[in-house]
Amino acid sequence: MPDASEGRRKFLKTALISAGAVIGAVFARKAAFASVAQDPLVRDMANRSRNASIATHDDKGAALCNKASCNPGCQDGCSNGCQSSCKSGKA
Amino acid sequence: MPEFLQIWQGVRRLPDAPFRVSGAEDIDLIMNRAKAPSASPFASKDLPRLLAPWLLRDDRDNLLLYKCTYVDLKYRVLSPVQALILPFFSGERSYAEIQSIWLHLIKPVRKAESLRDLDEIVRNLMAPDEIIGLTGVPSDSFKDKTNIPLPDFNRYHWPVERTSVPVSVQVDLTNRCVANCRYCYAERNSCQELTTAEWVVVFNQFSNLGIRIVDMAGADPFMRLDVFDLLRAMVDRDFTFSVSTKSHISPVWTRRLAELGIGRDQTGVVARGLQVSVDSVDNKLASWLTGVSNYLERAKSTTANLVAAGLSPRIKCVMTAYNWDQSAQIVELFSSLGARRFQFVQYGRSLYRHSDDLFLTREQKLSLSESMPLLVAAHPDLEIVFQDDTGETKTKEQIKADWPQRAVCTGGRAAMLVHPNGDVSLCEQIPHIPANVVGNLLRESLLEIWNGAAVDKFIHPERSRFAGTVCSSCSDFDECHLGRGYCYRDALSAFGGLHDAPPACPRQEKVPLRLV
Repeated sequence: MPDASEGRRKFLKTALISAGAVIGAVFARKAAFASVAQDPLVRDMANRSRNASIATHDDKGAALCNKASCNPGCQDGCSNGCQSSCKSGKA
Repeated sequence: MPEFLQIWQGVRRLPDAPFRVSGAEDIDLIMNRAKAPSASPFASKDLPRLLAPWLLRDDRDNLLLYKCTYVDLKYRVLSPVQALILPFFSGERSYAEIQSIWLHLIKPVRKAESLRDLDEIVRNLMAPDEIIGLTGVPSDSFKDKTNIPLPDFNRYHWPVERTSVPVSVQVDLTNRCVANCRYCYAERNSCQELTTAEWVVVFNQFSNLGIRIVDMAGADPFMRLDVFDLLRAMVDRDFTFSVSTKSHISPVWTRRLAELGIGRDQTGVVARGLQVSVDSVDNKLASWLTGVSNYLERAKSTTANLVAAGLSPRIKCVMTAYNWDQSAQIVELFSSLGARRFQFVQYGRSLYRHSDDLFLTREQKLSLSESMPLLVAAHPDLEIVFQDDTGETKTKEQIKADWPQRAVCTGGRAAMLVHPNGDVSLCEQIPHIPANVVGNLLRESLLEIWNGAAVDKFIHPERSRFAGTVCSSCSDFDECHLGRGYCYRDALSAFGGLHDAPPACPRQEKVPLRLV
């Protein structure tokens, strides 16, 4: 017959290790957060954004077109982007 | 908010959520969309970085991201949320740290979803443009850690129609050229030229405003006796540019170019290119096209001199009906001289010396469309780029679908041009006449011109100027002019006037002159 106290010991040991890991992870995360908060650049950015709200519609990030094209024939987007040297008659 | 910004928002069909919301709003609530879980673009320990040549710039009312190279003009006025997190991608913080910073700054209610939003923002900066990555030279924006460009959220405006300072300026140092090419698009009128000292004052203005892309337009800069003084001044101010020439570059000149690092192929260094024009491997044809006797031999000598000095010129060919079938021979001949970069573009209508017989025929275009990829594949060690235009006519449906996605006219929105006499206009391909001049740098500062009434009037013309065109009664007039604008050059070339709908406009009813 298996020893019940041995089973309990194993269960408790596993539970303690698991709890320790969770607590450790929580502390590590808190520590990471604390170190992030100490980063001067983060502090600066936090101050800058404190009183101004930031709506987060991202819209792919391009408020202006990022592919300007001035070459006849590549108005649909030259494969190499806009190049002054791409212009048809440019030396 | 200025009226044009309100209209611009409408043009972009932005979400209904207001740009600014009350302080403690949760990103999850604002984004208000359900998302399927997806993998992060980076592992926790990865050190993602903003890559060179992308640079951040404090653009007064927003944070600008642009590609600091003469090769292609790409820029984004960052959305507030991008501006909030992008300055942390210096390559020194792990993605896990960046995630922690994000959560610290945003303070979301649902963290997991918020981190997925961050992932999405990052992915949008990884493709199609490689702005953020793990390998590659990091952006110069982080060189001076005490002076990283940061947004001022108390007055952040986004989206905007135009940048506070030009991203790129083109300079015409001269209208003079050693050649007289049959295919040249340039106006090349006789024009007084600024002195060396006057150009230096102009360059100082650019530099003080943080402008780094100062490319050359116009004719051949080597026609100026002070060309090396001007090039030195541009290099000293850390401008990126490309020098294009048809002049013969002697070994002495080559050494001076090499000293300045112009045309040197170095990773991580501000790009400064050098372009040599070659149109034919037949000396007679080359001379006929350029108007320069013995042109091919001069170009070969120039290329050999540049390569011997360790420079990497780009060989540029304008393909016309006369030389369209010589691309392979040009590549063979000039790669044997050490050239490694080639570019082939198709002839486009010139406002000043056009001849229809220069246009490629449809058959020639189709043939090039088939043969050029084979040429590229046959030379994996070379950089060969070509303009693939088959001349296919677009259907009305295609024109209608393409129009809202048309390229922004950057003239007056992100770029401008300085003529040899200091006059400023917004496009190098429209005539240098008083009606198209928006200022002069001998009389006004760049910012006075950029923010002046003349630029505003030019990019937002009154409807009355379009009398007799489809634009005059167009219901999309405001949307068209306050948003992306349209190509003045195309309107002028195709229909004879700047103030007309270009051929790409689905409402244009007139048959345009052929442009390419």
